[in-house]
Amino acid sequence: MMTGAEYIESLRKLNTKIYAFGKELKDFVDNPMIRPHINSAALTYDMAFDPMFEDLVTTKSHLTGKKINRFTHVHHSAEDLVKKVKMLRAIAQRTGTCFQRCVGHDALNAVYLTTYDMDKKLGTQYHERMKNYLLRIQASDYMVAGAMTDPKGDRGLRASKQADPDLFVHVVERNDKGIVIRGAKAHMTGIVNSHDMLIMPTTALTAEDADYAVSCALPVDAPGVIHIFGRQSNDTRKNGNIDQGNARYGIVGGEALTILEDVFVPWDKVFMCGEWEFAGSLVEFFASYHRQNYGGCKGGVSDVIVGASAAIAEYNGAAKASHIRDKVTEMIHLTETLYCGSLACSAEGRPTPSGAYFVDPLLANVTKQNVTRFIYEICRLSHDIAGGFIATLPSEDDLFSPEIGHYVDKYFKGVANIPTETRFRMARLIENLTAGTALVESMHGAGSPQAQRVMIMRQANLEHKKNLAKNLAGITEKK
Amino acid sequence: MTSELKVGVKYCGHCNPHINGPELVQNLKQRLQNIEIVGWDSPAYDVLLMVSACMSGCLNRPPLKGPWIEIVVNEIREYQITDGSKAGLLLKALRDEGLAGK
Repeated sequence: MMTGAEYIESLRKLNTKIYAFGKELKDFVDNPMIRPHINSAALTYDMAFDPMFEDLVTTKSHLTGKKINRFTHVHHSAEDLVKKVKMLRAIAQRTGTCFQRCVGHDALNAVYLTTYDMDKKLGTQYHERMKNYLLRIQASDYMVAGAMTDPKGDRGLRASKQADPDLFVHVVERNDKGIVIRGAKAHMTGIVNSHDMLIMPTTALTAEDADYAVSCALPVDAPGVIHIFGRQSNDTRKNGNIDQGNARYGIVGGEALTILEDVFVPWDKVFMCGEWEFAGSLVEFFASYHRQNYGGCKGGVSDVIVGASAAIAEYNGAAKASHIRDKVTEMIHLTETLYCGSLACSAEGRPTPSGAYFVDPLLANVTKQNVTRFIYEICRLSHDIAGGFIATLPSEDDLFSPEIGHYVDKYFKGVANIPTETRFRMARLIENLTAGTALVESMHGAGSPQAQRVMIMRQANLEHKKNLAKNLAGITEKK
Repeated sequence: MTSELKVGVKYCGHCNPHINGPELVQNLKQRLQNIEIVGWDSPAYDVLLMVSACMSGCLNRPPLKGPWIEIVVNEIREYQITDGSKAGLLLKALRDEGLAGK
């Protein structure tokens, strides 16, 4: 396993091509746009060595029996699934933001069990390749970015019907050494500070879309790969450590648009190539694993929001007001409800033919659906408790200005025994956690709400529920 | 100076903790003075202390080769200690810290 410092040093050896604000970022590891996301991911490495957390963040490989970081593990019990959720909550409590590594973890698991199913039905040889790839990832402790979301162009058209064929990643060449792919992947969490990406199709496909049925792994710095880093709601606040809110770990996951311009992938890292009938199940496996996470990581972030809201109420002198206590209680209730969902879909996990364990997909989708609502309510309550000054605060430069700093200090004071700077810091943290980019991530990360509703309706047994009602109503129907 | 009691410690992971495990261990260090804390996977210790910070008690027990004590939140849930052994010092210190249980 790597430590956080070793992980950071390993990134310096890569030749990752990253653009932001129209320019290529050189020495991206130390760039203030990127570094907080690297720090956040580094914690997934360091916590594996911390006696307080190693019971969650490490486990034994089912392939080698060796101790590995859990982010490289394929789940082999319901307990594994539960521990993953607990690990995510514990890490998020310390970062207060996304630490990015779960996407690749979920991709490894989804591709692992899909390749097994494909080989059984089609006689292909993908699963052995996937196991070899997993062995390499476990041995190297590399960070893998899960790469699913295509740009999608006209949402009313399938992949092969788009005006521009590159709006979904597709195979443009097959030869005896491997394949060449072209297209792009969007909203790529943690990709610029990963080592590898694991590409998957973005949706169910038809026979006409066979060239779009592709899953493969490649380095993030492979020739032809370019990353265009996404803007965030605080990305010009890099000159101090208060206005950023969370200067050490940043905000969301450092997402990027990843361009794949005729990128070669050798056959030993190709896990699907044309088997369109398995694209839908791969997407569903990945989506369910990823939706499982959200009551863990968002639960952990919400723990910080609850703490920050309770603290700011104290700084404002309002902590004892009954309505404040009631709002904090509601925030805790919503946080634990999210956590319940993640634990439940994990505890109800079941073995697949590959031996890997899969979550209960209905409960996983319900969990993520709740995140699209409850996080907004948790943040709304936090704004209510904190007060409007979290949106109107002057900058830290004004607070420390020799000319006007004393005014800022005087008029932004709360209770007498708390320094104004302390109140400033907590307000900025709340702004970071609850506004802008972080909020949207709760809505669309791991799929937009409608994607979960489709899965919820598909997984629920509506006929069974109707029969329950008819039975109680005394309705008998002739068959 | 060699320590009187070497304690291997294993924590649960503290995802939703009701107690602060490391703080408890620090308190034990102050109370027992001549005590050395090592990781649960260290080659040798006098007693293993397993600390679960919430009631689920989900800590993965390692192979138990010698004396051990398991605490769950503020309760001594289970232990295996021979009478008169050095490990008994730790059990007494936990009770003195106010932990309930056996």
